[in-house]
Amino acid sequence: MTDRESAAIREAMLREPSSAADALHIDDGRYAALAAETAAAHGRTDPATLSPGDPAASVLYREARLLDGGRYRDWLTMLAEDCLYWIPTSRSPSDPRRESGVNLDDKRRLLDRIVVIETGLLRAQDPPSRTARIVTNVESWKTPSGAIEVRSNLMLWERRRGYLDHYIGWQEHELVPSSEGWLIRRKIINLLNCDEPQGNITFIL
Amino acid sequence: MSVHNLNPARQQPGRYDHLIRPDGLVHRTLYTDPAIFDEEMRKIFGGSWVYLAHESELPDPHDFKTATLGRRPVIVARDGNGALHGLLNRCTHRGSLVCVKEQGNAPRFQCPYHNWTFGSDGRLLAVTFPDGFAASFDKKTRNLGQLPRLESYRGFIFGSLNPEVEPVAQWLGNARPVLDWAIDKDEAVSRRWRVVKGTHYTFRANWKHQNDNNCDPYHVPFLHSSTAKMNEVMHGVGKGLDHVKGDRNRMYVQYLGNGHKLFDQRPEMGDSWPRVRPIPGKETHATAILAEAGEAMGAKYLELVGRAGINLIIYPNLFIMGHGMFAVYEPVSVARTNTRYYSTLFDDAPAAFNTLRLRFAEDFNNLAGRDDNDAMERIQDALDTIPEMEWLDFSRGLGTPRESTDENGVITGNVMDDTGVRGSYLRWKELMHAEPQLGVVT
Ligand code: FES
Ligand SMILES: [Fe+2]
Repeated sequence: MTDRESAAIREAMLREPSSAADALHIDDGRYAALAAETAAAHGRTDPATLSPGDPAASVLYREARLLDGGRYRDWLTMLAEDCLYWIPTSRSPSDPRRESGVNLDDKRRLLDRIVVIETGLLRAQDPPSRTARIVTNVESWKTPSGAIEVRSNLMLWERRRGYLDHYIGWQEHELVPSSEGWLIRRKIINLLNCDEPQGNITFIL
Repeated sequence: MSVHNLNPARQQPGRYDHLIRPDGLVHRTLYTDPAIFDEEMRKIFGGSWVYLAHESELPDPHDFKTATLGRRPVIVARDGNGALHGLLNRCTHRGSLVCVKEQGNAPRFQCPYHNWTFGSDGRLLAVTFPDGFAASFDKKTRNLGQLPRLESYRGFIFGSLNPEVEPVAQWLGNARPVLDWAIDKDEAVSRRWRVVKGTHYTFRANWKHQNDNNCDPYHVPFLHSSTAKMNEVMHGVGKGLDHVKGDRNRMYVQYLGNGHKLFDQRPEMGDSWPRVRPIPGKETHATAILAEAGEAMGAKYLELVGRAGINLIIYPNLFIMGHGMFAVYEPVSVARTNTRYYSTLFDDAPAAFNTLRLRFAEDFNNLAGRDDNDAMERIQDALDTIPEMEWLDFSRGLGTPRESTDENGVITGNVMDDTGVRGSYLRWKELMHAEPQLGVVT
């Protein structure tokens, strides 16, 4: 660097002076608060109080938050008793009486799957998959019976043991009203690669 | 038509003797060396029989299904007379893949690049703008390459690039009665059964790990303990694979010859239906089956929903579970494999039966099957990165009095011994030491 260049940089810096006062808010109390705040964000399972206008979107976002957080028991409470969870192996519309799914679970088998994870002995989730999903393009329709049909896009990244995998597609949700709010009666995940070999789907999509 | 020889350079005889030792140790390079993988693709997935497709997937004239022979894309096609052909999926013009559909019906395959057209028997029917080719250009020299051998055994279609392979029925050998048993059980209740695609999986490990794994009951009580625990807590004992837990029982493994092997659970498994876990719709569908078929016949259907109690591995790439379940191993690269599951459905059975079979096929795969993939990936990661530790141990049962050979050459070992897997490695060595004269019919 020439003297002229370094002088120019010094001059530029002085136009935006900073002072020690800018950093005074960082003390132990602030760090403690930060740790507590992030712990609360990790632990959050309640419905959001400020949501986008579409009630379906807030259900889907909460679901995404619970699943990414591995809060499977809390997620189960979002499901109607007669819920079906389906990841078809062919491009829709497909028929579960003609093909096996990557998954096709009722609430009973979902609970089995969650108990398997909870034993701590599921080798395929040791260490657990870390996931982050983006749910977008949420569109919803009210049905004559008072349910909501929702369509959304899903992009999910899975990181485990240093490897990155992804699950991309679109989802169908059917939401039915109940005393506790909207419950999921149907969740179908249509993956772009539904008919191709799948990786380690031992978490809930 | 003529057979063209594709003779490899001669390899040094016995070069794999030191990698597969008589004391049951196998060298890591069998799973990590890309050159060995390439040789396997030539000598095992080329020089031996390889399962490709099932006849019920292509029942009619001009039906086809794409498959892989090792890494080679092939089209198994029926011509207009219903005869089967194993076509190499490669245009004889500039080499493009001709067909990229999984399955279908096509009297002609047209290459997308310059629209050369081939018949379902592989013959070149037409080239575009033919005037540009010399008078000496002979279309008959540009037919799709065709496997010199393609044979079907009770609907299971095998192909080979080795014109000298023995007939499939003979090659199946001691595996044949076990395969017959599995097919006969289905055919006792169905005259019209067909194969449908199930879930397919991929994992970062060598194909031989999967081939070993399916005849390795030793891992079941340990690797799959989460599923066993869940079943016990949620549904009580006697479900799933919880009969595979100790090594003092009447189950056994067998080496059947030609690489084929068997883990036989039948002696301890009892009836299959009571072992079926609470799969979705189990109760309603069982009721529907019994109502439609009657008590006696309905009970027979229910018995065919779950596992048959055999793990029969037909070397190198077919895994028969019986009761309509089987899987195909597809080597992709030295450290990448796909396992493709299939089910069979009965067109003449109550619809509820087929639905239950499909729900059952999802069950083990969803709950415990990925454990195996994870285990195989861990093996691959360690083998790939620690060259100083050279050996894998397949010695369990070796040199113990509990291994015996019968008059057919079948070697039977204790249920948790490596008897079957060891046999497959002897076959591997035999195939890799051979110099098969591969050929293509054109
Ligand atoms: S590459 Fe097939 S027609 Fe040219
Ligand atoms: Fe296993």
